Amino acid sequence: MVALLEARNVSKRYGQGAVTVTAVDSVSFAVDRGQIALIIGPSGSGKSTLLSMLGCILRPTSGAILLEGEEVSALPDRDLPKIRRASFGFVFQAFHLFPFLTARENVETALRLHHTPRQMRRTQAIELLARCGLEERANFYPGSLSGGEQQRVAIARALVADPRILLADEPTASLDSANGDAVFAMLRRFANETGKAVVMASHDPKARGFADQVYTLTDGRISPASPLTLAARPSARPIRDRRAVQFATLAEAIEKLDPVIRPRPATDSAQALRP
Amino acid sequence: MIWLATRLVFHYRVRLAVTLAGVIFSAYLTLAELALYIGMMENATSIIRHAGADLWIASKGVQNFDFAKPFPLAVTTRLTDSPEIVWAKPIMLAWGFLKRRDGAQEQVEIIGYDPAAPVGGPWAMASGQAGDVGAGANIILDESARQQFGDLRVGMSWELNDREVRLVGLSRAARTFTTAPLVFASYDLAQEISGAGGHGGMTAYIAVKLRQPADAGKTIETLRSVLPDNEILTTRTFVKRTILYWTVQTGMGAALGLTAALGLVIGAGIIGQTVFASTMEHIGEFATLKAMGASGRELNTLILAQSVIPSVAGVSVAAALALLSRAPLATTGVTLAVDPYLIGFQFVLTLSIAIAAAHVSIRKVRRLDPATVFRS
Ligand SMILES: Nc1ncnc2c1ncn2[C@@H]1O[C@H](COP(=O)(O)OP(=O)(O)O)[C@@H](O)[C@H]1O
Ligand SMILES: [Mg+2]
Repeated sequence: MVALLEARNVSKRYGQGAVTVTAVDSVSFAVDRGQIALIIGPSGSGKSTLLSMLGCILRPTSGAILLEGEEVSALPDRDLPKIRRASFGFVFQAFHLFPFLTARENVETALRLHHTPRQMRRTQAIELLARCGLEERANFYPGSLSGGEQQRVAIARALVADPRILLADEPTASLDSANGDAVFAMLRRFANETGKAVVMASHDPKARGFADQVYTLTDGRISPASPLTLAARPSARPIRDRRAVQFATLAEAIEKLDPVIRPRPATDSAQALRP
Repeated sequence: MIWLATRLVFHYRVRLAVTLAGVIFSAYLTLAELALYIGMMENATSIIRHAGADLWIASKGVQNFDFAKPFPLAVTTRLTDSPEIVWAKPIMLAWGFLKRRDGAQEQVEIIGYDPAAPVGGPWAMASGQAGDVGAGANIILDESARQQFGDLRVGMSWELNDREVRLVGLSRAARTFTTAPLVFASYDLAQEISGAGGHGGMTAYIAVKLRQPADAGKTIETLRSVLPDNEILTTRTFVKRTILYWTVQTGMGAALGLTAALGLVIGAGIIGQTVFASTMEHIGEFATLKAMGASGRELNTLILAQSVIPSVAGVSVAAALALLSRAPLATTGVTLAVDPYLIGFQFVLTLSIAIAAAHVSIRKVRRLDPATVFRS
């Protein structure tokens, strides 16, 4: 069967002539529906470079990126925005929300790029924000949201247009531990319940507990690392049809997890989510 | 994307206020200078344009309507039997002094015309009629002369060059470039006051109405051969010559033109600086949009709208201000000729500036690498 997203022998060299940096060196790996692939590695090991190539933002120097078997890395530049819009959602360490838009408007921006009609846009944005535990924050500007809330808005924005793949670059690096856990839990839940593939770069040790595959990147070279708790892997559950998904549990989990804004005592996110 | 631009522009209120103030100032400056110029030129040529004549016979080398050397009226007799000519009417022009109530003498420009067929007379009246100047010592003053003479009522007595004259009417919107008030009188009275009178009379112009204005060329040639010592001009040429004279000879064209251009330059600077600063400030968001798959066209629209929104808002306010300042300026004798065409022209100018200003940002964003979103 064809993998949803595959990197085949992908390399990226920056610079020219004598001063080149090989940021990513002959990387091959694949990720499938409902799976979370985690890439760990020290700063400068090439994680971001690999993610931008996977997301059709950066062209590999050599090798191929395949999206459901189609070699997207061979497509002309003008076709790439459409591919990104249709197939990828991006989440960044620095959130990159639009500071002049409310949380809801931020989420709607992704739908505007798809020319979704106004009423549908609004409904979908509100619904997804609610599922991310942000229904009361919908009309807040990013400046008045906590870091954890901002990243959840960013995840909602990345997911609202229903991409097949979510690329998350150090999504918890700017967050405290509890908020970081909430973000991991959300990604895990979306992968399970909507069948999205997630490729996540992180050096948060807790991330391992939420991933199906773990790779380490060292000086641009990839090698598999075994997940810590394969047996307790949440994705062991079957993937349900995304339209029929119940998100109530996720919202509940998040409510428990955000001690910055919720008065309740924090509980361990992993505990809260595991069966 | 226009939506996104609107949200962006209106979110940063202080920046918007500063930009708007700048655009309003610069657009008003340009608009007002152009309107002043047009107003002055309209005044300078109003009698020529309103006389209803096709051709003008003047003394050789005439440069503008207000400065005319009189020539013998006798030449008209050579025209009246010409079949191409419907009528030929003398218009006398003289300068005199009208005594104010406080005794001071105010210089005025006297236009004398045939009361029976008031060619060259007032074309719009506030009270009375152009023909009322009749055969006696009667005058019509323009309403705007209230500025110099205070209360003006029909029936009042005035002293024009130490001659008693009676005010029989008030004209509307008849002004000259020189700002000297216009006094309309009968041809005879004007001639008498000018001192140019005498044998058969003198005239400053003869206004000619043709049967076939389209065939003016032939008539002009005939007239030139019959009247070798006169200048024969079409109404259009005379208007152009008058405008050229005042524009160039007074240096007014250069002065107003420079100020108008300065307004445009200030506007360009403000819009350009705002749009570029805003683009640089939001460069991260542009990279995010690119990563999210926004097309080049969508990004261009966003930047263009960001530039066009404050520009259009600014020029609209400036146009409203210009329209509002017409009336108060008119009371001080200044004509601000703001019309829809001029406002449209100013819109086009400002829009061009906004588009040019956006161009720099558009290029910047086109070259922006969306991969920067991964750098924290
Ligand atoms: N645009 C670039 N130009 C040149 N070198 C780059 C560029 N982006 C990244 N690099 C280099 O590539 C290597 C990998 O960077 P990066 O992918 O950002 O790693 P990570 O995300 O793991 O920190 C680093 O040595 C970095 O300096
Ligand atoms: Mg990185």
